[in-house]
Amino acid sequence: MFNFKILKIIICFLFIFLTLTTPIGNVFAEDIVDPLLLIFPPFAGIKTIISATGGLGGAIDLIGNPVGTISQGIAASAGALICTAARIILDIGQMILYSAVNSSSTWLSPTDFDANSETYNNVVATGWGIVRNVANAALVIGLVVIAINIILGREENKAKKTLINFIIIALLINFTPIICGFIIDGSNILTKSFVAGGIDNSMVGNLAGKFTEIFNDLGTDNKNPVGTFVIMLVFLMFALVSFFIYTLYALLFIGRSIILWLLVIVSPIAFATKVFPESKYIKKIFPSITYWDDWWESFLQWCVIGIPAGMSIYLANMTISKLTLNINTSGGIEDMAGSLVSAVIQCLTPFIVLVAGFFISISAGGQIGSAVSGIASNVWTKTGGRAVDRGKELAAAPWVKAAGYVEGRAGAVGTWAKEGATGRIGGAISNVFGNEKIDTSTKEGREEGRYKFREYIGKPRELAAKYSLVAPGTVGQKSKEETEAAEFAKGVSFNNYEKLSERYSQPQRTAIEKKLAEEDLSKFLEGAKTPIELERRLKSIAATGNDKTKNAAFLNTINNTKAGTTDWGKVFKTDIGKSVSSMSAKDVVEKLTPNSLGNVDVFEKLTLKQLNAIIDRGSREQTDAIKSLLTGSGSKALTDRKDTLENIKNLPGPVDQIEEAEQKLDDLNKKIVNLIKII
Amino acid sequence: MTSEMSKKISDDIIYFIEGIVLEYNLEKDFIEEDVLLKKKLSGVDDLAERISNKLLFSKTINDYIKNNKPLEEILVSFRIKKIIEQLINNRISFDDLNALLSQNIKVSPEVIQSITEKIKKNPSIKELIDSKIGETEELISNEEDSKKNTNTKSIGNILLKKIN
Repeated sequence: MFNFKILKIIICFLFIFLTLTTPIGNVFAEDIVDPLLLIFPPFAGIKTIISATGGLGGAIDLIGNPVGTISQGIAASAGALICTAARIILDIGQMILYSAVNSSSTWLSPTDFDANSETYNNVVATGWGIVRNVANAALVIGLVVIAINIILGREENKAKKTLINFIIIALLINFTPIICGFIIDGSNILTKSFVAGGIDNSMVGNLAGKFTEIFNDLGTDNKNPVGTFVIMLVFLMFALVSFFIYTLYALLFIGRSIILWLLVIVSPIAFATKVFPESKYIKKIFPSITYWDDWWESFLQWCVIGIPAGMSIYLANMTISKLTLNINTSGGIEDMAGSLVSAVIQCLTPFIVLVAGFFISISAGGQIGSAVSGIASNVWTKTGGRAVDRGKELAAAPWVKAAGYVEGRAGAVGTWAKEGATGRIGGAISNVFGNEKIDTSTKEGREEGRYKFREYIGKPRELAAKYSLVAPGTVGQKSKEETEAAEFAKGVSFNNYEKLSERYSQPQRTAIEKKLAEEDLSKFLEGAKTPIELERRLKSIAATGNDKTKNAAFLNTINNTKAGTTDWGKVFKTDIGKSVSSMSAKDVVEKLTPNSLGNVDVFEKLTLKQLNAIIDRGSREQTDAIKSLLTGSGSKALTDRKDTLENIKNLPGPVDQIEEAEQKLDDLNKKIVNLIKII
Repeated sequence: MTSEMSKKISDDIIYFIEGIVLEYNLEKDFIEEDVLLKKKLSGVDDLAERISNKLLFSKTINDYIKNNKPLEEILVSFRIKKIIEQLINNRISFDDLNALLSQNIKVSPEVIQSITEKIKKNPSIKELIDSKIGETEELISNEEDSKKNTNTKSIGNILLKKIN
């Protein structure tokens, strides 16, 4: 079989060798090029060069210096090809973006229902008509639901309020295109004020002009052919990157229009769901954007998504207009490199503005924006970003291997050495790159370093799985050592652990701590003799525990003076509200330690059911902790909370805020009443 | 041990007791003595708010709780609560009520008689007397659920009352 790879290498070698060793001149006569232009436009560049440097006269060189002249010709052709290709790519990118921005307010506009109009949208008009009829039918069902609720007295007040909503919504349903159109047009006006002229082509012109200028000088002996060739490649690279970015923006604008079509079509049904009481069943019947909350959120996000996008395009244009490219190809490589780097940085600035603007825009797009971001990421992975990802892979691979190697080798020389090595590495990485400073000279510091090390080790593995470098299932899979440690931990009791904890290997210790904390958190934390040991145990739970244990351990850090000043919310990645609400009444009794129950914030977040579970089934220490809220500092905190809520309730302010304060005050009072059971 | 094995009063009964205290102004002397508490309770009709204000804003009550001293010594509501706890745990009967209340509350015999009748008629107390230990929680949670789901002022309920 003929080996194309070797042929490619030979051609490249010849090309570079000849370009470096021969002066640049002309090889083709102007007359020969003209017919070629009909076949392929890039030959226009060559024609320009020939015209500039003497036409047929150059052909004489072919006889005097055949090798040199041919090589110059190859270089010239390649340059012209690259230049023209880059220009075409840029022009196409610009054209796509301009068309996308323009069409979003013309034929892609979702709000023109006038059949005689040029921008009449048949799809949206028909779809909206069908959905409106369905929505009107849904309203009838809604009316029945409200009536039943009022008759049976189930949430009667709510049902009466809903009736008022019902009347308003029934009217509004028939005017949703006008309401949507008003918001869409408003956002379009803002967007178009930024992107009225599309993308400024001055950078393309600037770069292309500079390139032609350099190219026209190819015939003179004092030009650096390597430099010229590098500039050509840089230009091509810019063209490709900008094409990608322009296409992304174009997709964003087209996507916005299509999604707004869908949102306008389903708007009657979304408005209708506003009538129904909030219920998980209603959300199941009207999923996603057919339910008011999701629809409204998506609609607003997709309306305004064009504004940051338009603004970033506008800012990029401003940056482009300030570009002053001055590439020095007359001097040596060093001079040229300096001027080239400066030019590259200048050219990069508008692209950075565009890329940043794109990500800001899609982040404004909420969940659907994230999906677009995902698509963009995939497109980038498969196209322009392939090389970058490959670079990442190459950069990550030695790191992962090195870390794995250290871990593996350390294991071979004994547990102590391994723990020390991983702890120090983790600590060192955290000290250099993280916010937390770890003193690896102490045992506790190395321990913390080991948790960090595992965290850092996990990240490239997750990344590798994300980019399909390793099978997704392998991430988070236990190593053989960890499996053995988990097996070993099954037979270890609290007593054994407290007596022998120093003798266990790190994986064994981690597995035992995980098991014991899940078994009896209070006992596990009380076993810590010093504040440093308590911190270590808490961090161990944060790193390895299940969600329930993590929640309970986090809540235990509140009011626990031994837990130090660490930001535990950050360590456990949670807050009091989330932690308490994620626990069942049974969990609350089993997992919440007296320390956490003595905290007003925790008390406020407990539901009445959770509180009663503690009162009925909790330990004496737990009930005493809750009772202590009625005395001393606990009482002061509760009275302050009540006063604050009463102030919000009594002072003029937004109705929602007042209602919320009333509800919270009512809940707090009811919970305090329940404390009588344990007094 | 005994307290763990005994039946606990429900929220309903706590509110019932506070209702009686409010109706007959049984804690007037105690409230009058405490300026802050008096201010916090003036014009407050909501029973939950009254109870929580008493527990939070009275320094005397705070001190009693802190020192684990019996609140019956200072609060009539806690005296009634104690009597009802004895009642639901079958340590006393309805016949003993009048005498016990007379001993513990310094009011006229008519008021004592009226309170006795109210306690006797209270459905939550009756249910707790008849229930066994362990069933209490279930009863309480059922009460809470039914309270959540019905509104006594609803059109349906008004109609039912009229029919009856």
